[in-house]
Amino acid sequence: MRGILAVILAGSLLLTGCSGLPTSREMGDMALLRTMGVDSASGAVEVTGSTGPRARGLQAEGEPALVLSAQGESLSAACLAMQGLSDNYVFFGYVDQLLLGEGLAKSGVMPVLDYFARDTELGLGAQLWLVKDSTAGNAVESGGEEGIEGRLATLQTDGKLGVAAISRTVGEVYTDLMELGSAFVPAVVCGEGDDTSLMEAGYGVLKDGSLLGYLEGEDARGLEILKSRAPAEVLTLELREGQVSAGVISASTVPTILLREEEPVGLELKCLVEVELTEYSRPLSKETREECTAFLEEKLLRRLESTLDRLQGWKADCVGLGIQAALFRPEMWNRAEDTWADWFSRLEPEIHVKVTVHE
Amino acid sequence: MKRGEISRTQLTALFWAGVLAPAGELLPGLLLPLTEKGSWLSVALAAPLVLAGGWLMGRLAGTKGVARNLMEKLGPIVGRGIILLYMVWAQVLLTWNLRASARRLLASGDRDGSLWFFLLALAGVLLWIGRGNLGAFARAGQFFLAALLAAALVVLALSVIQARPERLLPISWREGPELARGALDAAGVVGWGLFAAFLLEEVQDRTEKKGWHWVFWGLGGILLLATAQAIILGNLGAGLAAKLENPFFALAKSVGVEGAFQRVESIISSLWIFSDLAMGGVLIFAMRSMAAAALPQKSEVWIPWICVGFAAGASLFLSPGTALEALMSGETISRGNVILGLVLPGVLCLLVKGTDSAKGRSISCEKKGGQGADIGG
Amino acid sequence: MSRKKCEQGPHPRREPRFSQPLSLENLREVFSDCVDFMERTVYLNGDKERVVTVCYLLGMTRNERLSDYILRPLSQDPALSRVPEGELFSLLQYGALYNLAALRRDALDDVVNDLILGSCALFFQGRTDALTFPIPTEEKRGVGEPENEPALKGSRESFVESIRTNTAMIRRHLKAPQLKIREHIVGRQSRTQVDVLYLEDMADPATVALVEKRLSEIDIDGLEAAGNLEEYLTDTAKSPFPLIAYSQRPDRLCQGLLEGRVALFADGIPLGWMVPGTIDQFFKTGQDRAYHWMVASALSLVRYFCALITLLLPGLYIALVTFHPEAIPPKLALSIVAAKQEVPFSTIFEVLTMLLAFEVIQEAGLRLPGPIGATVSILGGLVVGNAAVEAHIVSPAVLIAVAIAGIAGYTQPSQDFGNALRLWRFLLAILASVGGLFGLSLGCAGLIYHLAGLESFGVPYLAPFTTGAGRSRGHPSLFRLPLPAMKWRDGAVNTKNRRNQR
Repeated sequence: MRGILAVILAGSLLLTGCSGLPTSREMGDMALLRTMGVDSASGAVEVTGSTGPRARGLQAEGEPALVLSAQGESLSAACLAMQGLSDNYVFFGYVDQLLLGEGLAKSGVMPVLDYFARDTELGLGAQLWLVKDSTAGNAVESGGEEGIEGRLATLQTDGKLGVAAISRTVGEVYTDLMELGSAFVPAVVCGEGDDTSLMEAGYGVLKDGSLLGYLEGEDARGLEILKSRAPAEVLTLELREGQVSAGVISASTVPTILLREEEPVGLELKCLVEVELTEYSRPLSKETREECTAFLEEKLLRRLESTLDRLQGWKADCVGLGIQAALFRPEMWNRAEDTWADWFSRLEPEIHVKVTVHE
Repeated sequence: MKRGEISRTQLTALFWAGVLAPAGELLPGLLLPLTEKGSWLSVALAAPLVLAGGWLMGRLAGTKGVARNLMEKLGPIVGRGIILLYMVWAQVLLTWNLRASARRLLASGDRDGSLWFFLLALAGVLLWIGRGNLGAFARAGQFFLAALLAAALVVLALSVIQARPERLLPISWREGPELARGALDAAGVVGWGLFAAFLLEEVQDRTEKKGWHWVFWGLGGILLLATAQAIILGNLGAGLAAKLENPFFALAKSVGVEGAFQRVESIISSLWIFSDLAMGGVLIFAMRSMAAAALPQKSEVWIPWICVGFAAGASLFLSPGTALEALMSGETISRGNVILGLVLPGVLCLLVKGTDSAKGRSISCEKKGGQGADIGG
Repeated sequence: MSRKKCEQGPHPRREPRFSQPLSLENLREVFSDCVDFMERTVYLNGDKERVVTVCYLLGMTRNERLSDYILRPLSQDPALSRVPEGELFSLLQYGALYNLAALRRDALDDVVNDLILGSCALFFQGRTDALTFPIPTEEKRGVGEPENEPALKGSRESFVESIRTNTAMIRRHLKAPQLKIREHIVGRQSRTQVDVLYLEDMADPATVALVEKRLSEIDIDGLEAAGNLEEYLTDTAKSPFPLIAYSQRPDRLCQGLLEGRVALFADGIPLGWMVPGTIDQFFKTGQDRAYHWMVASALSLVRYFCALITLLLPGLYIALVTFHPEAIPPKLALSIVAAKQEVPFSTIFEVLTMLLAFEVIQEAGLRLPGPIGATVSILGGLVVGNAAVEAHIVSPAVLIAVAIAGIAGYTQPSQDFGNALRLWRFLLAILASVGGLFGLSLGCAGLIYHLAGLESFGVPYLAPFTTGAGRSRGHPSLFRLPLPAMKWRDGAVNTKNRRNQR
């Protein structure tokens, strides 16, 4: 009996308002940020956050998105400053889209990625985007009352709209930067004129945390094939028997490092691509099929050569071709790992593309 | 404590339930800077060391338990000295366990609470468990392990599809020395469970099936830890994983099922309390067993109060930068476990064997002398 | 609670109760001021020299049997007036009266007891002993259907208040001669018959002995409620979790006996208990062995899942919504936020209040008579719940969470177990309010440890889910294997004859 009384008394102490207990917060009193944009602004960091359409009442319409923007000497200072801008507690636990402005990307993204890795509310699972030719703040505000979460989610998940096929999380990019020294990040660009919605803009390539440049159009599609992902595109071919459209349904690239006297001299890439004909006037004859195959192989080969050429120029093996090729060659990798960027830039590429056409 | 209270499955369940918490905290921090990609292999290579340590502690336990056997074979002074050494180390581990648990809770989810709240709440429950019955604790331990394994397997299963083999390989044979050192560190982390050996006297089906049960559980646990390490590396890479305080919980942050659940690290972190309680309970019951053998009668009753009280107090008031705090670094803990779980038991087994041989020779000499006397007479 | 007889301590016992010599006068004195005490003086075969007095308690005896088989032969049998007086007593004891039993008594205590149990007593002039003939009335509630354990595919009998009818039902189901039925009398004033049943070649003798020892140690005034037996037999009163399973169904009890358990009946209580009671007993229904094993397994898993839901859902809701909102999917979070608009109370207060309201409505429904109770419950739930949401007193999300938890609790076959879960649900919700998921986890760890520490007649409460030291379990408890695969008994720790089929 005395034991129970002692426990109850001890428990009552917890309710006296002494400040050891975790603080509870009501969700209705929170501003649930969904998208965060980070820019560098004259030596400081600027953070812009958007909540997306907010819940209002049971039967009422949603409230417009709340967009907050604050500056600070560091990212954490800017996030803290943002708390003071809102009547509600700004909660970062729902941030699943992170936009980095081009300026910040050029100066270095590692501090931002590191912050996301360590913060208790933010996480490595947030999708990462580079904003080309603009700031992340502009991109966040371009969503207007609706916010940009929906648009970014569409860009992320729906490859059929002709958008970037590979979405990347903060964790994936951070890991690539730590392991490979370089990484690629899907890029978006703000629309102009009446249509201010975000559009895909290929991929930005980072090296040692800083932006080197962009791979757009054919180069972006080439990157996707190098990454063994099917680009979301429909290729139109003018053949003897007429026009044919084909969509890429799968791609795989197997890299091999060619050695001479135990030293890397070349990089062989074997690419297997499957396409499915989407539009054609009649079933293809054997000659037409061969013509189609040859045409596609040539087109994809040129694309891959262009992409690889740019990556080699940047000395950025952001796809990880070297490590994939060296998976079972520990001795070679042991020698080349630390200077792989230089090796990569000097290797003679040998690309073999094989296309399989399905009707 | 009554004899024959628990089964060997319960003991091994307690062992692995308790080891999961320090494994999550210490393994990445110790292994990644040293072995990088090879850390998963280091964990696997620790298997022979762990099994050897278990075998040695089993030999030390004999039929009467480690503490009683030591007292009997080595005499009251040496035996008591050795037992007190183990008790001090168990107290250090208990303190570390409480503090690490409270800090993990602060860092991962309950960010607005303060350390003393988590510490005292955990200490209270540990005291309740430690004062109770070993059989009840062992049964609870099986449930704790089941919950921990379920949570861990969900996280690992959802993460394995994102793992990339190029973050695990290649590993060169030139990294052998680092891998070996890593294996030693990994064995030191698993050595947190060495105090489970002090409960062997309570296990009644110890020697059935010629010990294959222990091998199976030992290898199974190591395999699980190695797999977890591989999946963590495969997702985060060695560089990023080394930067994080607890990469397993960072992994839990990123896994989820769209539309169903996500960001489950706070749930996983709170479930990991089960592991802290299992380890704390094993340490307290081991100290009770040691006290029953080495200390005055009736001191066993006070052991839970003293141990938990000291651990809570030391955890609360331990300041960063002090020598005591440096003592409780991951490396020191790991090395201490290797010494007390592998090296010292090896030495003690030799000593005990020597003592037994000497006794055997003196008995046979007495017999021969007696016979000679008879013959002479 | 007193397990030991204490002759010198409080509540001293007087044995025998009535120490006076056996005589009609003393019997009259014992039953003075008892209007149902009857006497009938009879001349044996009309012989005025041969007089016997028949005593009985009106209402306890069966009147037609008394008239036809006791009074009629006494007054009309010519042999009773011809035999020598010395042989008259023996003649009556050994056949002159047509009754199933005839007992010779020479202690007043025994005669008083027999009368209370429905016997009639024959007193002869000049003798210090008496004959008693059991002719108890058979007025009792008819065997009906079990109200709390409905049967869709199986026997529809239910136990009644008469202990002998209950044991007869068991005998009809289990015709094994090894079925033993041992009787104890519990309660000084109620003198309730309590029967212990077991199968001799299956039950653990140690468990039987322990049950009987504990029964003999019960020294109370009366056994009028189920708790009078349960709380005195079990190891601890500190846990709300039941340690003895009970059933209204004979087939369920027979199943328990066939598992090597020991069963108990108490006269006046239409239940049968089974010991030892491990946790899986409270998740089993009588239908489990009637359905296909896959269906039964699925339903069993649903029950276990619902037990977790009812226990954890309110606490989990509080912990996630107020301390760890990041774990909730964004769309659900927005729904919760929308539902919470304009509600003036905190989530913690809402949940705890709704839990309390749920219990109040349930309790009110139990007290009201059937037709009114159902209507009021529905109105109370709908009107109060709906009105509360419309008035923004409570958010619908909380209402749904509490309702789901409550309904999940009703899937528990055992009412006692469900009540214990309800108590712990409150506690876990409070812990979650204080410490979020940490508090909830600590509470769950405490609950697991608490359950792990319970024992029922030497068998750990969690034995079905943990490896015991010693014997392996017969079959899994979470789900049911096909019956041909369930070859081993799971009763007490040392159930004899563990194999139950070829």
